[in-house]
Amino acid sequence: MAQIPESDATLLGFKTKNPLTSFAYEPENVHFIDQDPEEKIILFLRWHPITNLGWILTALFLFLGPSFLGSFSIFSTLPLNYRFIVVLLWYLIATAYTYEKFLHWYFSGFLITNKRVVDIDFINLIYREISFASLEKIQDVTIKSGGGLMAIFNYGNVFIQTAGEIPNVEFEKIPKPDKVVKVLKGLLLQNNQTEKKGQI
Amino acid sequence: MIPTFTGLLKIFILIGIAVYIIFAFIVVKQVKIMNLTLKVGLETPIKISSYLHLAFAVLVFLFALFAL
Repeated sequence: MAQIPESDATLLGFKTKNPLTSFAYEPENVHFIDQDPEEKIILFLRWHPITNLGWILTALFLFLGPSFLGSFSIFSTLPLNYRFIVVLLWYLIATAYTYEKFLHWYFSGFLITNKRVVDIDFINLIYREISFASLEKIQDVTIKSGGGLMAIFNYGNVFIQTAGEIPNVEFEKIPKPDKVVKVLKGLLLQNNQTEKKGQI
Repeated sequence: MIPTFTGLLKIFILIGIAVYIIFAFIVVKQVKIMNLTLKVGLETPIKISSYLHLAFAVLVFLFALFAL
């Protein structure tokens, strides 16, 4: 088991208890299923908040939509109670869309602990995928980042290649991928050193 | 008796909202599972919001049932 690396001075600034954060160093209020008692979370990550801009704008449009329903002649022909129900139904659908998008972002997370990396993927409301990969099984770590938005807002993908039949893990659209890779490589180095000491 | 346009519309609306209530119920269940999977600090508000969402759907159904 790797020791927690010496705190990088720049990472200390990312210690937070904010439940809506996308980058938290050593978060105290975060726990995941199957976490061992002695296992400590070093980094908790989510998709960069800017990735939510698309659905937020769509949601705004949806919630403002009923203001324009009167422009449709068929809507004006309906009795008042039916018009009210149509508006309520519209808001129900808008709420469902917004809620599902928020939950998707909120519950999809990536964690690096002193033992392993964890990828929690909330694919949709009825399907989730959780991948674990021990630090010992990690062979290679690569950053993939491209495009204007990724460059401006400093987010990207970290691809973690694992050994054998264990599936590769990809941290998608995470903030500060360089720092994430630095932390991961520090943990891998410590893990290798610990293993070598154990073999001597 | 031939159903009127508004009568048919009411039936479709009620069926639609009933399907939505099933969806809202699934959301409640899934939020419960996800709160167990990942705890970040907003478990209670998220759980309450899922119940409020279900309650909203039920209220709309009841309104459609009695007011249309």
